[in-house]
Amino acid sequence: MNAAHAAGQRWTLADLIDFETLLAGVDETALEHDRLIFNRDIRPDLPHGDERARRRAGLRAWLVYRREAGAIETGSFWQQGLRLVQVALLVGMASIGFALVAGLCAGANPGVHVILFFGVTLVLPWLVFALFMFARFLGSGSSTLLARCAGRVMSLAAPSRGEDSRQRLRLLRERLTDAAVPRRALQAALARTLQIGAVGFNIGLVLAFVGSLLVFDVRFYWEATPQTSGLVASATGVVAAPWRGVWPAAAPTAAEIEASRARYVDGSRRVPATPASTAVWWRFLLMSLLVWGLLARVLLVLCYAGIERRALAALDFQSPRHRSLWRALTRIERGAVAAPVADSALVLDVGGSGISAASIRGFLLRSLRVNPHEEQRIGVLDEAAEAAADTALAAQPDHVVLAAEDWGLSPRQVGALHARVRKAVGSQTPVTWLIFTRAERGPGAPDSDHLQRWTRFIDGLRDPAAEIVAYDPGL
Amino acid sequence: MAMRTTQPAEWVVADIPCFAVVGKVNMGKSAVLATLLEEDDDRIIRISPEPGETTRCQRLSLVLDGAERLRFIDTPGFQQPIEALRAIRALHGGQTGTPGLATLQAFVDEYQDTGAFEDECRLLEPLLQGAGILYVIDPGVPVYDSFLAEIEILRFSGRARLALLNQRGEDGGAREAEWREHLGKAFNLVRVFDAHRARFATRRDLLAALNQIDERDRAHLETTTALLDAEWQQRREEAAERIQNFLRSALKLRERGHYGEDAPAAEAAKRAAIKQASRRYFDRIAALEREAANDLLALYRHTAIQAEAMTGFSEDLDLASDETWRRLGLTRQQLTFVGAAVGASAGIGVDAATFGHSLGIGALLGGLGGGALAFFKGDAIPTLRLDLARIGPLGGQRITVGPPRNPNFAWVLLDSLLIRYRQILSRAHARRGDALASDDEPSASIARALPGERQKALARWFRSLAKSDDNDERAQAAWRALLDTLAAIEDEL
Repeated sequence: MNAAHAAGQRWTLADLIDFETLLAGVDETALEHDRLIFNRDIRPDLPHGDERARRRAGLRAWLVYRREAGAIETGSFWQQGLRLVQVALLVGMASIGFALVAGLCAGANPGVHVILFFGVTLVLPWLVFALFMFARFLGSGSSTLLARCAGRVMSLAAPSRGEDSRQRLRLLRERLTDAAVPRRALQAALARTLQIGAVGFNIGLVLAFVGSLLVFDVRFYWEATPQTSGLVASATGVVAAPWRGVWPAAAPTAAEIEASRARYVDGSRRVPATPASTAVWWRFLLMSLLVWGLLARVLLVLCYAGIERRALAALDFQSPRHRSLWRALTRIERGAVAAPVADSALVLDVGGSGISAASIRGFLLRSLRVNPHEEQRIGVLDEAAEAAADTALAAQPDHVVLAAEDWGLSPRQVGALHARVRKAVGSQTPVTWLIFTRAERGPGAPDSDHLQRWTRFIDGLRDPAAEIVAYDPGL
Repeated sequence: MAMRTTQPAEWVVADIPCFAVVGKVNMGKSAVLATLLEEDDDRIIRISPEPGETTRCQRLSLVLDGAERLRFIDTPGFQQPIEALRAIRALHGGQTGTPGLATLQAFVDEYQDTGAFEDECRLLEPLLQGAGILYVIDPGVPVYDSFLAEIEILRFSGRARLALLNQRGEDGGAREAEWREHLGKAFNLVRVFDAHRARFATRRDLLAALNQIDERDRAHLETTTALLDAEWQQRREEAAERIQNFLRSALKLRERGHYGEDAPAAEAAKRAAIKQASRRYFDRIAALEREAANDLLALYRHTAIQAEAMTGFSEDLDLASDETWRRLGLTRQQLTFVGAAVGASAGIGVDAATFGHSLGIGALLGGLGGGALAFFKGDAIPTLRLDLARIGPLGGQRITVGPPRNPNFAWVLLDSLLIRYRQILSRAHARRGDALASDDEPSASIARALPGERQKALARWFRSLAKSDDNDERAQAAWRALLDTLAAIEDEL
């Protein structure tokens, strides 16, 4: 299964929310199991070279695997909630826009004040947008507000109360809104949603305007106290610039503008009713709604979608918790190099001669192939030393070496000692009697006569796992 | 003494590349393996100057993620190579050609239970089963006939052969050229490898070299090398993480005490409380540093040494000592520049918020302020920050001490751990005991040699910690700076 390839590298906000939810609740045992799956199924298919791409693909593949293994709903709550909000905003704002234009066009007034119409339907919403952007700039560090908005969105799809809701908010705040990249993505998603509402508003405006034109005889005029025809002409020229070349009839000329100015005759306002002035203004207003209203908002929706996508593409999963997760999943476990070598020996100083294991170590390594691991005294008055020797014997050493001075053969004592050792370690453990003499500079080779007697005695024990060795300082 | 019958062991298995490490006694075979496999536990691989330390063949494996990737057989050294060679040739007798595997098998069958060539029989067993050969010699010793006999015996096996010149110390390769001449005739490859100094790159290269002597396991060895590379990268990242966690804990550390205002000698009580709290503060910092160092040691599989035993750290990090502040951290000039850069960055933030109306004055003042602060404080030995607060309506004052006012504090801590890191990477696993060689890496400051950009990234993060604002982006930038620094330390070794 090419898990990494199937998962893809493209992260969505829903993925990120699910990922952080999962990460917040993951435990060591589950991670250990995941590591095995990761190494078996996911790692082989990760892209080579680019560590960032590997991490994105790997973590997403892990998320997909976890989703398949168990229900993680937080991301889908987000998606569903966001869709609900978008639909609600689209329909709601469309209704508002519709009602607004219907009110302007089909009211008791004989005509539509074009400047008012333009101001209410286009200038005002863009002012609101500008104010919103300014407020966002000032409160750009307010992750609490952002988290609350996101939490409310999720709650629409999965209403929750109390602790669950608080936990969700905490997660959103800590994991998604306190870091720049996820915060940017979240902001873009919410901003896109608001613009979808604005698109709905403009759809309502356009529909109501077209409907009004088809159903009513709508007249258009403008009026002002000072002589502002030139100003109006300049303004309309700027606004109509995008379509002037394509549809010149939708760009009012100075004469048409002047002709449509309302005048007072005998104290009452007279709205000019020429077909030409009516036509140019409705075309102008329609194109304004379409270009500066609907199209601009659609572009904003696309722009925010792009910001969200780019923000998610910039996720590098380098925060400490992400790095910790990545290491847990990709950790190379080292196994044991080897078991300890079974060549350790317990050295027992018979009678407390003072011989040390260190002084005979080389001989033991090269001659007997054993490593003196522990040393004790035995056959002494010191009860504590005797007890320590018994404890050491009871630990089942690999080998027992009894170091005895060459003159010290006392058959009964040696026999009893041998039986005691054999009883403690069993019949299979090799037991070696190492015979030495005490010399000036440490242990020396034993006297040959003494050695002969020792050899006869040890052979007489008829213990197949027992041996006698003469110490050789030259070895 | 009657010899026990040798029990045949299965040394070589299919699908796992296996190499027997052979050579004369005391050439450093076990040391090579200990360093290669990162094993410093004497209970697993015993290393000592005592000839014959390795008493029998021992299987040592590189196990990664539960799978045995490589197998090495540590063997007892050749003890009687010349006699063994004669015996082998005698067994070969009048047959045509040179002795081969069959003759070696006959040799082992003949002598294994007699005690005559016990070591030679043991070390030939894995070769007879198909193991490749890593032949270890010390190029500082003359090319005696006994070595030539060993080489000849190994050549008879026909196995893939790699010779390692276990160069000990700076002058260890006095006869290297002579050795290469002899080894080149009988071995597929000859490599230098100082078991007591080899770093990761050298170990990795050696494992990669195994690919060159036997191509049958090429894919497997390449995968193994890739896993080791991944493991090394992970260790480095985790080391950067641990160093950062240590710095975070240390820079946030505060120590508290209290004294009674109503006491007869309130002033003396206050001084005593401050002194005790300060002592506790420095002790805790040292303990944190030691703990972080031990973490790094464990991360790099150094189980036999503790932080206290490392060069220059025989005592805990002594922040009360003038010497520590002189030796570690940034120089006064560097502190000034870095302080200016970080201060300037903060000033630029002010300019941005006022839409540039401050005409860059924010940046200038920030730069001057940051630089001036660093200049004046950079030379002071640590005076701890001190806060006093009333405990409650019943009287008593609580004192809170820490951190030192000296802006070099964070850099001193950082330097301490970076130097440790360098020492840890320098220490080969073949080294035994806490005693450290005289030619260990000197404890020169590393922070002073950092590139400006990395110093700035770290300084920004230190600054945000000082303001109790552990900014995520700055922390990440600091982590990356640490990671790059650790990689640079490795490259320099």
